[in-house]
Amino acid sequence: MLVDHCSYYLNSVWNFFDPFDPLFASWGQVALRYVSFLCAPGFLIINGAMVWWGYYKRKSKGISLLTIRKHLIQRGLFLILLQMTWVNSSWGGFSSFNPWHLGIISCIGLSMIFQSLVVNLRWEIQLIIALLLLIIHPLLVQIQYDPNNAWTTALMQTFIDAGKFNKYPVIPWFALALLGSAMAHGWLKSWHTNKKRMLWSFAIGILAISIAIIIRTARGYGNTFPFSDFGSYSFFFDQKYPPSLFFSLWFLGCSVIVIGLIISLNQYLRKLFLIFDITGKVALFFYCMHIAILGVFSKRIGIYYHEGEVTETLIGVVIMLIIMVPLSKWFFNVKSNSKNFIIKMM
Amino acid sequence: MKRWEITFFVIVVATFTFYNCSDRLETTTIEISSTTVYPSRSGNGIDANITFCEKISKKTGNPINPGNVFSIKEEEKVTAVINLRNREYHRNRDLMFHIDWLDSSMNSLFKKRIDLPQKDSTTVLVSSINISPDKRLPGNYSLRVYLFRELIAEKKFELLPYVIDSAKIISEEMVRKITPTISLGSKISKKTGKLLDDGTSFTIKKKAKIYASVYFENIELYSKQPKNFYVDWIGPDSSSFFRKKVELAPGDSIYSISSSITISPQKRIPGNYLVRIYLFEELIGEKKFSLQNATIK
Repeated sequence: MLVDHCSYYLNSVWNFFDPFDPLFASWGQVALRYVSFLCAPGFLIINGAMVWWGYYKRKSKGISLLTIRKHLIQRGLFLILLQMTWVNSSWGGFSSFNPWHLGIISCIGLSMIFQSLVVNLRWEIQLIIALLLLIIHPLLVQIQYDPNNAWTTALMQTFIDAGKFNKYPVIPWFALALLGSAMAHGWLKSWHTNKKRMLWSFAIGILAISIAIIIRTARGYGNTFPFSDFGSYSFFFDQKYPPSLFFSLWFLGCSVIVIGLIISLNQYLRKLFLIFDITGKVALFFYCMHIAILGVFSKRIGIYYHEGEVTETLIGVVIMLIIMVPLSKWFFNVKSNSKNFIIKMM
Repeated sequence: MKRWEITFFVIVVATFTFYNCSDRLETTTIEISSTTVYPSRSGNGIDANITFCEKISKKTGNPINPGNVFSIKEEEKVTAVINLRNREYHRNRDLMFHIDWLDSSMNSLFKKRIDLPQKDSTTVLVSSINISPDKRLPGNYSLRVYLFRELIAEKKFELLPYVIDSAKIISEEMVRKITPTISLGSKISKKTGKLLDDGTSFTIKKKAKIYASVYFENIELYSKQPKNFYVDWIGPDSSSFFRKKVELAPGDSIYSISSSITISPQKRIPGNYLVRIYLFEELIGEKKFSLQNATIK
């Protein structure tokens, strides 16, 4: 995420780069873009898992399902509001107020609201719902609508299609959140040892990737863009906005494997993972702050805005980590001792 | 081997694997046409050669006035003709091309996606951009061709500044200012050249004629410029049946022109007609008239 956002502000390819139809002039730019593709699916899967974990813990404490749902809906609405206010404005360094636009944070918020309705169901049912949504989505994308009609555009792009109003329609991304919720049953409840968590994560990840490869090589349903050969860049670059069935399954597999890797390596590379641990505890704060900093200093003030390439982007990532890690640590302490509603929500 | 060493090894292998996923070589070759080509890793991969030109011949399909330097002009275009090599090896699958026109700051001006379906035999891709002075600035431009999102060929061209066509500006001014007064009649004085009986309704008769005399106001302001007038006669079916061209050379002090048509029963039918006056193909005036059959006594 940080890599992609640093690229968005510092990398000159963004002068002409179209995220809906990306073109690449060098493998470094391909790598820079592709690394970020893991973020959104990872966000939704982890968030889905955390929603289930929150539900499970509260239920164990005897809190009613209605109260748990109320809490999830409240948090979902908070995320939508945060997207429309802070996040949208921060992209441009707070130079304008643009509430009528949705993005990844509002998508997580909406997914959370919908997840509150099914969070109490068995993991098998959640899995079936998720897979059905993913399978049906390519058909729904074919629904024609008038892009000049604001209401139909808003409706379609909130749930099904991607466009200027919203790049993250709820249906396919909510499906990934549900898959995260189903995975959480294993990660956080059923698989008791790290070895089991790791092995199951790898097995499920490889299964998802295998199905994705079968779908891609068939070159039919579930694909959006054609590709040249198996294993070429174009093979991996299917449509992200909105995600194709291949994209969703491929990155489900990758995300689950990465989570399995983190679980297995955490005990051996504690110092490295400390960075993720600190920032992960206040992930929403990290997201909101790093965009705001980049937006103000790069876009608004003009420091290195769209001037660099791959190296400059990576230097930007290091600088941002140097800024954001202590800032996140500080905010975590503030959050731990605060009773303020907004700080608690972050 | 420690776990961190395994992790490092996996990352290095993954990076190199990803690097090798490219269909193209990093090293480029420059063709005689000055197209920069990113060659395919496989011997029979598709390569592209770019030619810029002003137009494409509708008859032969060949580029007209090819080159790498063009002048910014009103309503003109630069056309890119992209010849694909080794196309014959790739007819069993869909191909996705992107053609991207870039300005000197490498900002995309216009991007076009071309999908060639299976069994399509297209070997030439064509794209154009407008080079009107209101749309383009002088400078270096380039065109990039992508296959499956990877850059396969690139070529630069230059746009020279817009040269104001003063002759065109004056001719446009003439069209605005020279106003014709059209008179119609069936007889004309051989001595003075003036119409003897003005009118807009005439009778179809054997050996009868209609004369149109056109007097131009403000024509004296442009006595040093050449002028091409057309007198166009339009029939009841709205189609032109006679067109007379009158060329006035610089220095001609002529204020009026004339044209005539026969209105014998063999050539004309009753109905509403028009006479139209054009200057440089621009309509500057018209007059209606009607033809009737002779009354049988």
